[in-house]
Amino acid sequence: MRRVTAATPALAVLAACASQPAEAHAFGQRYDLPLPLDYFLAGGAAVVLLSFVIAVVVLRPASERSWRWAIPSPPRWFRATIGTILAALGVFLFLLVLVAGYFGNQEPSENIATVLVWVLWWIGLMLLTALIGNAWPRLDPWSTIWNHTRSWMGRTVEAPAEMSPPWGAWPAVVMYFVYAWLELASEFGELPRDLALLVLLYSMGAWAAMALFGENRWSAGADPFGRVFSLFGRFAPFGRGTDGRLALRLPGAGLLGNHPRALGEIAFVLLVLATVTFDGLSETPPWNSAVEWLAHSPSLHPVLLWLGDFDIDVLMTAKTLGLLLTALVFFAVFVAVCRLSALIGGGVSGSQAMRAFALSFLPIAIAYHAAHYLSYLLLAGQLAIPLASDPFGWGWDLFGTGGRTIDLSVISMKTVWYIAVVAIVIGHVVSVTLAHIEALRLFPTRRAALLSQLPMLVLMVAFTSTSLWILSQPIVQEAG
Amino acid sequence: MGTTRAAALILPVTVMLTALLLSATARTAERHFELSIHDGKLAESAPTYRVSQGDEVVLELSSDRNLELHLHGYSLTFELKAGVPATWRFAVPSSGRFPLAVHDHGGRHGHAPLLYLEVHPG
Repeated sequence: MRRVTAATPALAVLAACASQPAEAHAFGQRYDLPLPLDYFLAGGAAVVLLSFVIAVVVLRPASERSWRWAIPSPPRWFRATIGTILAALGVFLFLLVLVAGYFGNQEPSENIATVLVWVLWWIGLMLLTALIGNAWPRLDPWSTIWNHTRSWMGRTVEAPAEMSPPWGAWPAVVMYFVYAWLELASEFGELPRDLALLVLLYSMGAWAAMALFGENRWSAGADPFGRVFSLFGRFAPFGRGTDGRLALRLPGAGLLGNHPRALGEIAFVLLVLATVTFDGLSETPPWNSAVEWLAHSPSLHPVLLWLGDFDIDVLMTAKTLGLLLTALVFFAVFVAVCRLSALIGGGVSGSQAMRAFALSFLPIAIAYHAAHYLSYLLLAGQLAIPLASDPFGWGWDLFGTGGRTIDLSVISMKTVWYIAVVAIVIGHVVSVTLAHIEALRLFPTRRAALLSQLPMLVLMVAFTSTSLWILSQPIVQEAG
Repeated sequence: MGTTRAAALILPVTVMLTALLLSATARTAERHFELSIHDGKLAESAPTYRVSQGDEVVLELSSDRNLELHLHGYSLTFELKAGVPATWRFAVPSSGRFPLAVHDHGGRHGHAPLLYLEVHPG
């Protein structure tokens, strides 16, 4: 009896945690209106219709066109100058994040560190990478600092790694999961000082790995950010082909061929898809109800109380489980559909199909990412204007923009809806087309290729519809 | 007889004109909502109020505690004294879904939003 009475107030606290969660992303409150039903239906209908059009009409057998056109390389001095400017910018912003994070104002919206990392870098640069091209290898401050330090110390630049990194892409998978967890579940990176600490810890890890395995192997294998930017960059219209030459290509064409080989690389792609989806999923009303249910479920009380002792609340537990579960479900469904596809097509193993089709899903995720974050980027991104004048939140006014506030009228929700639906339909079309081209290359006959695409098509329609559905839900955030 | 016929003619015309006028002014309508706040909360948990872009929102407020209300996005704040009914009136020219939150006296956050205001494009 005693134990029960002792537990009751604690349970009340737990329940309160679920309905009144701590504030998340207070500096970047989202103001999106849910996608109206007619937009949702129009988008869904277009997706289904276009899928069949692509499946039946568009593709000719053995279409081996590369959909890319070489563009003349700018002169060497020009590339070198741009490279130096980007590298210097990367290092400058990296140091700015550390200094502002440690010494600046600890209100997230009044410190440039949080806005720079969570809004401009993670969402803004990611979208630019997908829509234009990948500049991250030049911007990457960790590589720049490492390489310069080495050359100052008189070491020769190391030879390119001849073999793949020791654990393949798995370190990147683990680090990306931890990063996604920090961003989506823990809220630990909200406070500028915590964020600076995380960046510093990551830096030490990255440099230790570079010292042990070499910068090349780190960049090519274990570096989670290099990997995710390179994935998004392969969608972009500007990029380097396998021959290393700059080319203009149709969006998504860069995702053809050059498949992820090892299981870890495939797992990384699926983890990226899963985190992008979970990010939106965890702001929907049904998710909120699931958290409420979790908080009030009698069988989970002892576990939740025990976790509460470690300062882990219901919301964080739910988000951790949700993130893990989403990633596992994505992986399991993908494996199952690839096996089915290989079985129907015939003559190909399930793992061959997994390698061929893993990247085909990326356009849907990129389109969803763009649709989900467009208005957030345009509104929360405006915080950079006053913060450019006052990066530490100390009341400076370097460029005379210190007092600027967010202007809500820069984009209308109607425009956001149009762009969201159009982006998602385009992303879906690109994904389905990529998978069909891959299938035509993979399977011996055209008939086998088309049949193999039936389960893939169902999965893609499901993935796209889920994305549209999430956009049609009101965003339930833990507002402050 | 003449008066009845005249009335039969004039009345519908007047009604139609009034309806027309009303629908024309409906674009910038005043939207009234009554909020009685107890212990920093409404009876219903975080309801969503829908209005149209360009409307004027009028909140008839009462609270049993001193509160500061904050409309996110628009960054509007309103001081509410315990037991003193007050009217908070503001225009909503931009579309979006905006949380209205209660801040206690340190100006600190920490509550779920009181309500969501959805401003739909016209």
